[in-house]
Amino acid sequence: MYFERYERPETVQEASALLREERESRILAGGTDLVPRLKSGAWKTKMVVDLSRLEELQGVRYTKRGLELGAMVRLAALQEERSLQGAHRLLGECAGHVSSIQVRNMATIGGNSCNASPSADTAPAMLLFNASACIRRGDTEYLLPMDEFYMGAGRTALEQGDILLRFVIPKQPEHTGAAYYKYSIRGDSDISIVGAGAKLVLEEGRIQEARLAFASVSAKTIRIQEAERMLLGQEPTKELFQEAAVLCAGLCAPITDQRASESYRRKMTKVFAEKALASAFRRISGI
Amino acid sequence: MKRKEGKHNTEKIRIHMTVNGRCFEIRTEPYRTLLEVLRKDLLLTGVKCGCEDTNCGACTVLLNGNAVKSCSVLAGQADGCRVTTIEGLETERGLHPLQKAFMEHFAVQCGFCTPAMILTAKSLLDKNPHPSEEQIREGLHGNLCRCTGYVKIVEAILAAASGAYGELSERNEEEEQEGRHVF
Ligand code: FES
Ligand code: FES
Repeated sequence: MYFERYERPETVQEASALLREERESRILAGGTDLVPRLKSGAWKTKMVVDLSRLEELQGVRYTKRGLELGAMVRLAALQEERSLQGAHRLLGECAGHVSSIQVRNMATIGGNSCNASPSADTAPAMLLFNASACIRRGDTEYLLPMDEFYMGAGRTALEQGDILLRFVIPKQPEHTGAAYYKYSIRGDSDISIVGAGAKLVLEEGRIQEARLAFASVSAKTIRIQEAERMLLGQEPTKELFQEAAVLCAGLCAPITDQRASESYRRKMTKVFAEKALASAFRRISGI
Repeated sequence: MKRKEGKHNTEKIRIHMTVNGRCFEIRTEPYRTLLEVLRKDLLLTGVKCGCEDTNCGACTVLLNGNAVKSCSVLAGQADGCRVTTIEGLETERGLHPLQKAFMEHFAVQCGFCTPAMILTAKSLLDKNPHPSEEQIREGLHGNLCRCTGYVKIVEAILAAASGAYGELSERNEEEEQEGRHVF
């Protein structure tokens, strides 16, 4: 591994200036993906900019905008976070599904999204909750819906010099339930074959809002909006969830790799979409 | 862990860390990992280098009490931190209860994974003093034993947690010592 400079700026302004001054620079959040990639030579860089000193990227707090989740919050800390309210607790569960404790002690919630791995375990939750990314570009900050953040395997909407500051995650309505299943052979240390997330909002016995988001069945984290629409206004039943799951299996776009074949992934998408919907529903009604 | 030769234009960085209770000031190239600094500069060879790829967990150390894989932590990231390696667990009162339990339960075969297993187990017990077998297995997910002696390892940790090898909570391995060592 080789690079020339390691910087640990104290302010966002300083970090942003460093990243703009040296175009061949990389942001280091937890380093659990960056360091192995620099070692293997998959990535090369001249400068590593460690954001761990930036206060502004820390913290989990509720404001008028909803839950504001600092990009540099470590996954292990998020997993233990007690202040998460209602359905937002799923974020902690998803953080707990990422790899081993050693990795979660370093890796950050921002890094998990910025890597844009199609299998990122926290990314489906961002889509389920309609989260936005608060990004600093140059001297301005803007909000980008997470639906537009993930662009493909390893690709995000971020440009060189941009810094992801935090996620803004809207408060969820009262009768909301959300669940995520990670299906992998060797538990959480393994990369998922399918990651299936579901969120349901119930109003007078009918589904008022539905979200289905998946990891590992496309080049990026995806929602299956046709299935979401099909659930709207319906009464939640086992048959309905099955139908939605069949749609998901048909509309996802998995590949064959060493972990599973395309057709197996589709079958498992159906199985775990149904489980996620059923579990999301149980979490609303508490039955 | 080969160091690149012939790249002399890199400026070294200065790091302060407390390793096993001793304060160190280390000057090193920015691209070196915590694993390299611990093994090569401080000669703490209880930290093992297995895969160097964040998979095997043999390089686990405690960073401010939390288990991390030192092969994927840059030395600079450990600046200002407390680091504990297996060498830091023994005190004048003897071996750590986990070390004793591993010996008594034959949880060591070739021993390559052992320092990391014990450190990961220590961080687990520090947070959850009475884990279930399942919680132990979940907690050790990031540590591979190529001799595959997991049953004994889990037994040893359960025994240490039961207090059979001495109180875990009374120990303070990391009492800071006087002086500063410069590298
Ligand atoms: S040497 Fe660090 S995980 Fe294998
Ligand atoms: S005892 Fe040999 S690797 Fe675990």
